[in-house]
Amino acid sequence: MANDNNNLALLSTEDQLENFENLALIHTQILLRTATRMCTNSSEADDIVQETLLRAWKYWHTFELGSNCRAWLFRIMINLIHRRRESLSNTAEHISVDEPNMANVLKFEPKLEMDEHGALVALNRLPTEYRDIIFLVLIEEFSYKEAAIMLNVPMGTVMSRLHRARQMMKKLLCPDNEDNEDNENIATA
Amino acid sequence: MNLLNCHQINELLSAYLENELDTTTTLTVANHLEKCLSCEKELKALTNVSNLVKTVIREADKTDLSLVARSNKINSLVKDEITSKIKATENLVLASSNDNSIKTSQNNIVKLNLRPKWSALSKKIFLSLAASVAIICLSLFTITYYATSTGPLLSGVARNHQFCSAIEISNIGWHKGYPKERLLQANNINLPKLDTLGVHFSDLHPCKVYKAPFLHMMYSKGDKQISLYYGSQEAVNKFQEKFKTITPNELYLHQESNLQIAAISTQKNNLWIVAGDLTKEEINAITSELAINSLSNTEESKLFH
Ligand SMILES: [Zn+2]
Ligand SMILES: [Zn+2]
Repeated sequence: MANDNNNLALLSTEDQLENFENLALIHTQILLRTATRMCTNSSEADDIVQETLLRAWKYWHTFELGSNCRAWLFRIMINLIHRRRESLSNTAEHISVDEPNMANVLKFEPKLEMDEHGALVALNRLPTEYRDIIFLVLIEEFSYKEAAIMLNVPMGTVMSRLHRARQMMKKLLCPDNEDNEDNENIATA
Repeated sequence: MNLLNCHQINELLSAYLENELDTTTTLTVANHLEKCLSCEKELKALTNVSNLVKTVIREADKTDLSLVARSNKINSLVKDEITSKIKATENLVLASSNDNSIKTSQNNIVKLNLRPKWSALSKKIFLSLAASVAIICLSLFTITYYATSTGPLLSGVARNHQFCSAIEISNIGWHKGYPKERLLQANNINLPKLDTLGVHFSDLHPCKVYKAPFLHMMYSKGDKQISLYYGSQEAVNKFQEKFKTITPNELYLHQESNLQIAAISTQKNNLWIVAGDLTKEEINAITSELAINSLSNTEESKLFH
């Protein structure tokens, strides 16, 4: 809807809802994609995104029309994910595996040549905060400033963390490289 | 700013790639890169890493077909919840005041009486919810399929898999779709029973450790996560090639980011790695339990020599 006023609080509830649907709910899939990468399982990710959107609605009157809604939503979501992680940090991590059905068994014979997935392996080995920065800056293409606000850290930290993440990835991706000898020692150390 | 050395330039390369440096610094870096081969090489390597990561994650995204269904479901739940919240507020206001006063009020900043459009919309949502139940039922197979076969990409459980390639396996599908019994049988091992040590089995899957095939068995003790990796002859050979100095049954301690301690012990024609946040005593107890359970230790000294 055309509106020069960037103050949502002055709009009627109905118009706020329309705005919310047009500006916020269009990002659900993108939020969910990142949440799925950052959470332990997909149902946790679903919960987080739903909570994010309900929270976003609660504070929707504070959202400035014309500013970046995706970044605003991510900020709420990252905050919720961090809180969730904190509350989980004292709980044992448990991987639940459902009994496989035969259809899956036949479909997924193990093939041990996993080298083409080296990048994902390497990503999995990165500490969480480095993975997060890769998702936010490299994949979602948020600016350092936006990422800094989301993660509640100084911009310098975003810059050095991303650089470190890249270097770690480089090291993990080319373990046979001659200038990566200390990485080889991992297995023998 | 012109006198930055290679190390300082190096630290700026990521920000340079993202265009996050101010103009002066960008020029400084660009000038340096023109003259310095090693920094240029580093920039290229970092660019390659970024491109690879982007490609691989976006490819993985494409395979996760559950996202659309899940986000549609979330959106209808959210809309429904918001609508009912507004309705509740509306009813509250209507109950506590006179109908006409609200409808005729000119100064009501937040117009709580919804115009028909949204009411109709909310009804539509309610009705479509019923329809979507049917659709969800129909697509249940698909959703279950993805939930069990793809799992979350790069999820938080990665911390338990410092050594192995488990999560990306779950992503391409067979980590969660392979019977445990068959894996144990194929590797000709019995699942180590460590319950007397208070260590309980939770899951297993095949994976790779430093490019060698292993069976990864996950255990827990209280809130500690313990991993046992079993490698048969093939893994032993690969390790032998690479790490010629491994001594059988010698304890290897290692500290690295999230991985606290790893111990390697060898048995006849196979290799066990014990990993987790463990004390030396716990590792000793587990490795000796493994030794007792294994058939023979007599030939183990031939390994890795
Ligand atoms: Zn240089
Ligand atoms: Zn594993």
